[in-house]
Amino acid sequence: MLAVALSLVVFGASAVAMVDAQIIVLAVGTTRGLRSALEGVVVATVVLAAIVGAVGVPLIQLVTIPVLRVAVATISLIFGSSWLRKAILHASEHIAIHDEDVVFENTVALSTGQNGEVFRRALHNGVGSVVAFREVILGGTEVVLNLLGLGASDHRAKLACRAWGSALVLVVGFGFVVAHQIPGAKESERVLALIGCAHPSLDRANFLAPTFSRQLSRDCARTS
Amino acid sequence: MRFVSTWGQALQSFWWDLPVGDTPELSVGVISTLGAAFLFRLKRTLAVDPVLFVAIFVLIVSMTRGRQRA
Repeated sequence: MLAVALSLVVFGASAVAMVDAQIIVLAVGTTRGLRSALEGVVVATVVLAAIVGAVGVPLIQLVTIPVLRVAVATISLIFGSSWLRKAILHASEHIAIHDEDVVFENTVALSTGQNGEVFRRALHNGVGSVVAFREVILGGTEVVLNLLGLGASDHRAKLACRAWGSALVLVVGFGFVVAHQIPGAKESERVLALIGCAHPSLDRANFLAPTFSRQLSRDCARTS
Repeated sequence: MRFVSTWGQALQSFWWDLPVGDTPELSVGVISTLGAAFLFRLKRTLAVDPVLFVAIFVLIVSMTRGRQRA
């Protein structure tokens, strides 16, 4: 009974984290080109494997539990406070609620305006890869923590890995089906908007948007 | 070489933007608060009790700064 519960929890948690990353990778792939999306995915996977290999084992063997607790509390408090701050500023109308239509219109205006060529060049200069990289590394870290936390706590790491493998096959298969169903960028935005209605991952996309815009503006300013 | 440099900068930007980004005051406040609590961990009243209030204070300071910039 415990094994079934553990498998279901690991399967669900891993699938949610991977779908989070997959939505953004698909968006980058369909709007900025598959090459830049895959480049980001491959680099993120290598970096994640290196981090787990290089930091994971010493972390467990050398760092004591109190120090680890303080580190986890610090990270949680930083992220929690920043999300709470943003929510309060939204609610008090000091910052505007993200309007996808306005963002889309501004982006189209920028890409067809005087800086159009510079803008398009900047998009191919790795910005899409960086967005895909960020999502994969964030989702991947969640998956690793789920696997270690849930699998190791009950000494059933193999079972947890099998549940994660099933989720991986399902999510990747779903990704291929969706990618074949999306012929162009405009359709992909509609699909993403539909998924976003029922899925919190677009919150994270919004969270990444300012960084994305900043980087793009810097690239445009540098090359113009 | 250019590939490595681009990705090095992207990694640096990623690890900076994730915890710090536009709200450095939050990161500095949280690290200082929890660092102080860790240092005073043997005196529970001094270490644990003020953390909640200091965290709320840091949040208010950050929100005031965000309101001024908006």
